[in-house]
Amino acid sequence: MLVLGEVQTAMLMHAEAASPPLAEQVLALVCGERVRTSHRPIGYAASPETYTGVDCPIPLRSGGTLRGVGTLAGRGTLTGGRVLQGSVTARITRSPDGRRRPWSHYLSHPGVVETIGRVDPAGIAEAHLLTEPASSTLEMGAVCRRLLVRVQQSPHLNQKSPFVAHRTTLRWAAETGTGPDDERVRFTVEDDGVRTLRLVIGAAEACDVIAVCEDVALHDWLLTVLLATVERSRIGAGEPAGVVDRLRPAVDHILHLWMPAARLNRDVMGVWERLERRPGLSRQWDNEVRRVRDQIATAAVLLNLRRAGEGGVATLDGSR
Amino acid sequence: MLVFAVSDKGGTGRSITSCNIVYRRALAGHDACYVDFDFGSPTAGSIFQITGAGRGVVEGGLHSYFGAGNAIVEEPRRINVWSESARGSLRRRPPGAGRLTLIPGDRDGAEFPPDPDALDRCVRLFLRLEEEFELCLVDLSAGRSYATQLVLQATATPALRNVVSRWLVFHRWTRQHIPAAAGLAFGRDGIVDVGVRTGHDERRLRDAIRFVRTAVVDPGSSDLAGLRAAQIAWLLDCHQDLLELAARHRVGRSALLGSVPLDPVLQWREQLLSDDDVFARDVANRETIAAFDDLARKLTDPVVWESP
Repeated sequence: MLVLGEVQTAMLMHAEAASPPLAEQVLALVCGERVRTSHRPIGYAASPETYTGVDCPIPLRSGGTLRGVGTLAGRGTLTGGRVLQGSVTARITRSPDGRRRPWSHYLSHPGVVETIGRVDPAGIAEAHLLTEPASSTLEMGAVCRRLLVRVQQSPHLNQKSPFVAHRTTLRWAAETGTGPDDERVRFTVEDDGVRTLRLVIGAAEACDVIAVCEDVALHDWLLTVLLATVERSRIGAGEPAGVVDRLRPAVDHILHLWMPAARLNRDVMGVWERLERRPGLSRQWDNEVRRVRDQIATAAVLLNLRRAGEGGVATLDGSR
Repeated sequence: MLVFAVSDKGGTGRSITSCNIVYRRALAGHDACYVDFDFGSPTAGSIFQITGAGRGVVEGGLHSYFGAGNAIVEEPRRINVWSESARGSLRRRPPGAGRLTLIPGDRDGAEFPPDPDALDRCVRLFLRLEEEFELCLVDLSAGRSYATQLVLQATATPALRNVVSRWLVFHRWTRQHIPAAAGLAFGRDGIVDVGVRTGHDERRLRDAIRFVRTAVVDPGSSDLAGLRAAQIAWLLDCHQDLLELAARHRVGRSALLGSVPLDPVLQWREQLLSDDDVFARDVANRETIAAFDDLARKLTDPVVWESP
């Protein structure tokens, strides 16, 4: 089975982390359908699935295109009341008789896009990951953006972010059903917040594959935001109090959200295990978190010494 | 924060000053973005010295986003100035600096007529920029334009009502420009008048407007030491007259954000002033950069934005 997807991750535009009831209100994107929520080990809410009909050319690695007809499945999710994701996916299958069928057929297979013509899974997957940042296969990026803007402009939110954070886009392609020796996981970080994830894994349900890709996108975003905050804090160059002030948004809103593979099925845990070996997202995260805490501890010590110095006790650099 | 830059007349130095404010903000570590809503003349690319985008981008700019280009796009193009500027001193992001992004118009784009879809697109664009940038400066064309009306409508919608919006009215320090700037802000079909009609609260909107004086000759400056005593006395008289005129038009000190001195580099070559231009090459004046820094800082200083 070939599944393509795109996940865009952003900061929810609300001054405080959204409470579970608020999360349910802002994610109620389909009238009359329930928002799924869970509270352990981390607050999580997912909107009902939305479907978008498509009849578009799917680019191939060879440079040609293939006609794809069906529906994209999309949803918005909110983790920790703070991290908002728009996620759009398509399961790609070949139309059995090679003909365009009436819409009623496609509507009875939500989230499936049938190709009219022969499917080359690897070729479609590679072309999907290589598309220009401004465009995307089957206009998945546009559907993601629409999902996000619907949530961000919700009247239940106050549209005041605690700090600004760049959005990231994860494009992913997964082929399932391969033997254990052929399993592959490739994660790349491109310019302008674009990341790609290519999975070739064993038997797994589409919903579990989607969940692991959303989880990778979430944690990559957290890491990206933390790295940007640390870089701007001017550690070593600015006044300690100023450095801590610039690090504070990360401490207040980001550090407690790191929880890789919190809700994943066993079939896809192997993906995280491989990512932790290389590139080692948790290793980098832990390192940066230690750096943030060391800065805060150092600033506290310096402040105490300065106060003591004002009382006449010698300070670190020997001045009074 | 959304900041809208307007001027009643052309040639006030609105765009060049705005670009420099955005640049100083980015240097200070903030993510800053310049949005070229001067639809009739989208030339901000030349100030940032972006190769191939001096008069706007070939496709995918703001005109295309608003359906006035060759093909409609879902998102307008973003240009990362730190990596795409042709100017060496701009091409490396200094350590600790924020993102510096230009959202350009389309080449040979023109003003376009009102369109019901444009308002929705404008709201989505501003919300997205507010999410990703600490400062988003929107440069509007001179005079009363459709673009000004569009952004007033957009900022009055519920989705943007809580977002901080501020207005900078640029004017030269002359007898002709002072009443013109006041008229644009408070006169008939001016910002407040149109704003109230689109649903803004009059008091709040008035409090969100400040004036920026450009190309100001300071009669007390040491640069004028070579002038004759009679000339200096005459300059002082003129300056006094203008101060009184400004106060009469409610464009006086309490509504002033700051002044930019007359600088030959800005007059002859509209460009970003880097520290290099002042300290290494010694072509620009230190006071000009200080004025830009001051404006950039005051944009977010709560004391400055208290009710006058």
